[in-house]
Amino acid sequence: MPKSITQDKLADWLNRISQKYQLWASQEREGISLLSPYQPEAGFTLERIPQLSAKGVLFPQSECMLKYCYKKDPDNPEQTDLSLEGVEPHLKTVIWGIPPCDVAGINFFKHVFTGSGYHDPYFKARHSECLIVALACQQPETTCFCTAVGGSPVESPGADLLLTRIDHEYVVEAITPKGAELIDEDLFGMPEEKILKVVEQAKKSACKSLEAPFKLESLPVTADKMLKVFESPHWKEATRACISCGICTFICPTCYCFNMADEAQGMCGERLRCWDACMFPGYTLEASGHNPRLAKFQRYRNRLSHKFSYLITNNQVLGCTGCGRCIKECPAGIDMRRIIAHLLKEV
Amino acid sequence: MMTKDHKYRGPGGNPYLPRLATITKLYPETPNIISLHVALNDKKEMAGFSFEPGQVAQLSLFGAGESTFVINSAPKQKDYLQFSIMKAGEVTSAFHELSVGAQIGLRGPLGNCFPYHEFGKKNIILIAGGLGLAPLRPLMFHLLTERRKYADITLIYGARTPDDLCYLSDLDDWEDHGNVKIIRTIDREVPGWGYKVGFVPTIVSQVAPAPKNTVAVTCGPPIMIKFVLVELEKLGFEPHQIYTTLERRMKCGLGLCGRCNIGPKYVCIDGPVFSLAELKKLPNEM
Amino acid sequence: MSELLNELKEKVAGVLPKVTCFIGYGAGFDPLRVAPVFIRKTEDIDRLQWNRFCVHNLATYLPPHKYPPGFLFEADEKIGILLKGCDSRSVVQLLQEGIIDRRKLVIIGLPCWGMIDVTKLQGRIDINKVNRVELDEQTIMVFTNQAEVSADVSELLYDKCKACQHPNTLIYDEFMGEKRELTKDIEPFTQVSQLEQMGLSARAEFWDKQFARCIRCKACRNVCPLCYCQNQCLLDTRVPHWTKERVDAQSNRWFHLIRAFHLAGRCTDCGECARVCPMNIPINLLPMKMNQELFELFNWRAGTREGEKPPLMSFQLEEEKIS
Repeated sequence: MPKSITQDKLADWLNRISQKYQLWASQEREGISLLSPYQPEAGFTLERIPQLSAKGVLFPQSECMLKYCYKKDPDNPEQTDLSLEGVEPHLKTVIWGIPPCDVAGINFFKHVFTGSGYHDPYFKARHSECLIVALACQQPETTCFCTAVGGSPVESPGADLLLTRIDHEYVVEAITPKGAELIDEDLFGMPEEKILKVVEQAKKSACKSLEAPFKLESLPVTADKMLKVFESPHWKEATRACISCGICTFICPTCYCFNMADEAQGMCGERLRCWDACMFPGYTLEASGHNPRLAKFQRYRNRLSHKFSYLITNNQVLGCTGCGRCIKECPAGIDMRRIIAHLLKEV
Repeated sequence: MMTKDHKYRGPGGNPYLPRLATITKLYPETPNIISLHVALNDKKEMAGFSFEPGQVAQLSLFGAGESTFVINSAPKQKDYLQFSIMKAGEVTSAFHELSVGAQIGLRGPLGNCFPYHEFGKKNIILIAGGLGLAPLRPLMFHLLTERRKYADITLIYGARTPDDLCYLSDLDDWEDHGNVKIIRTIDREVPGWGYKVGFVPTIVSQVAPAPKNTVAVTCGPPIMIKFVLVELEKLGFEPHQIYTTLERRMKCGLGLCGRCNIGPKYVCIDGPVFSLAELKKLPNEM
Repeated sequence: MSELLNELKEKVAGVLPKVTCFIGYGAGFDPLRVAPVFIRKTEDIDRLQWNRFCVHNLATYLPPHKYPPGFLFEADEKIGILLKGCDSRSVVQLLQEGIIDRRKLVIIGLPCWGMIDVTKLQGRIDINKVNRVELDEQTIMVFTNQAEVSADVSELLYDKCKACQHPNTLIYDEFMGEKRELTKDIEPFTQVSQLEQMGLSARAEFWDKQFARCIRCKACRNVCPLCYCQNQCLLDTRVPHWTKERVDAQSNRWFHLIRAFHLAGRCTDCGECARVCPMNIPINLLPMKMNQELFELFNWRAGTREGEKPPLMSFQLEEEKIS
């Protein structure tokens, strides 16, 4: 049975969660909503989709993979010893109030980083200790298209709890037993029957309000079609305005490309994993000077083909959750919905 | 062929963590290439380390970073692994500053290998340019351990100048004791050079190996590979008879960081060895 | 506005035979945004737009260092471009730096009355849910499915537009419309002066907060017409290792400060770096501070006086204000 909590009790709930878990909630910071470690005095917001997706909680922009130390042997200065230490994150975390498209992004990461190939131990450690509280998205933005890529604005598989707001009340559905533990509190009541009906209606109308910018067939067919348009001149045509920045990749809930680089401080240091972007020209630049994706249209083509074809082939999953951030924030106004729609018409 | 099941586990099961290793020998191969012998510090791990010809490893020089190199020693060599490093970027330049005894990190073996078990009874033609001989070296060593299984073995090997040829003593050895036909070439005539002169693809067309019952394996700079493939096809080789090993910028070596893909294939886990038939199915993004 | 748009289309139709591509503005993803368009065929001229949302500085597509021949334009292509007054300053500066070739450019100029900063509507209406806009010279009405709001255009202008000193394109081959006269004197660099009144520690705190948000997406650098170092940029080199790999306030500060110094006397205050920042960092204030210094030292405002040599590209044995 769903429970409910009134708006004025949310802060209490968050305070309680934050005593047991590292809690991430959206905070209003300089005009944008940012998922941040919760601080009671900074408050929280549920008003807008967070500027950055939730991926950064489980896949931080910069994280230490290992620490190393070279040490000279005082008796034999010729000899330098090396020690290595792996770093494994262990934190019980709650990500609170994120939209279903961001939960879909985390599900995606789970597929790719703990699927059939190599497992990523850093993500895995964080993910296994993480609870997700989703917030149904009732008034999608003009750039939203989650339903076109198999998602829903109001259902959130992969989350532990789903909140749906009705006026000053939030109806809370436990999706997993772990989620149910989070609401085993005196702050919650039982929603009235009529409220549950309103929830159902609100969910229906949210789905209806979303238009599909393109229609995908089955995933394998989509993968195949996208491969067929690899040589289309439209890639170049549609990306002329691209400035090769990393906004689309960094704010994307599924873009996971990373760099590994060492940061030395004297004889010791760390190996960091940092977000990288396939849109940067230097991303595939080889030491010889050769660059297989030198032109920006090649990089953009790789990005979308990866999302709509290669990931399907390799991981049976689509690399887009329809959150629309890349459209909203693109400095050059590139709209991937139009590009996909155009390309799918070519085959 | 090696499959994804042969995974590098890494200390504590973390495939990003290298094993510690020591440089046991280091010598110049050419003016800008050094060869290293690397032994894992854990003797048991070293003895148990097995790899197939064509596989690569990630070498770490902490502080500078990590780079991918093909293991070019003989697979049966159990005391050390050999790598050859051309000075190009930050990591490779830092390796050139090292001396014997230096402590490094090693992750591997990674990637797939040459499908030599399909080469039985066939003529084998190996075509390499410069340091492109490195991936073919362990293959040659392996072929020679079971020389009778194969028909003619030919190596066409070129470099810009005589100084840029690698593994010279191996070449002599294979020629003298391995029943291997070796055709050496350099780009431009140099006094005292007693072998062929011309770019590798041109020499391939001159030598004109017959495609019947033959496999060709080529590795070298991208531009050389491109034209060798053209020449081989002109000679009548079918795409499934041609293998090459590719180089891409790699970071994780695990198929996760996203960098080295050609279409849906990752050079680090699906490669580095590809048949031309496989490559033809991939988007043209070399 | 619509007369100007018609005139623009006519002008572009006239220019197109002389160039291979015309860079202008076209429709964006919603009624509040436009996007750069690259017109190559007569039938595409109708894609052009001109309205109060055309903020992008199109000059960023011109430096061949940013877009090597073959990747955006071919080496021998002659390009047509629509430039607002502020954007034309970038072109003047690029010409002074010898980066672009004037002979390969056909510039259409026009008067500009300022562009609307749609983020200034945030708080009054959710700007990401807008499906209709009505606009006249003074007023804008914005509609979502749930709400509507009307506002004075003058309130919503970009800060750079409120401080505009060059409403007309400075360098052009063809000009359309009537030149706009500025009616009042405007104090330049007011944003910088406001910040400087804050005191040192408050200012340090202000910037620490800003730099802590930076995700190093490089959009500020990439959108800047004057940032054309590309792979030699301090953000992209490992040797020398200018910027730390870890993305944090400290290393971000290092990058942004050096970038501001590199732009000293070159930045034309187009504000694009701040506009594109996905983390709402007013990063244009750093180069603007350098501009203020250059203005006070050399009476220099980058890109405003064609034919002059930028002060940091020349020297005199005796400088009037430097001892």
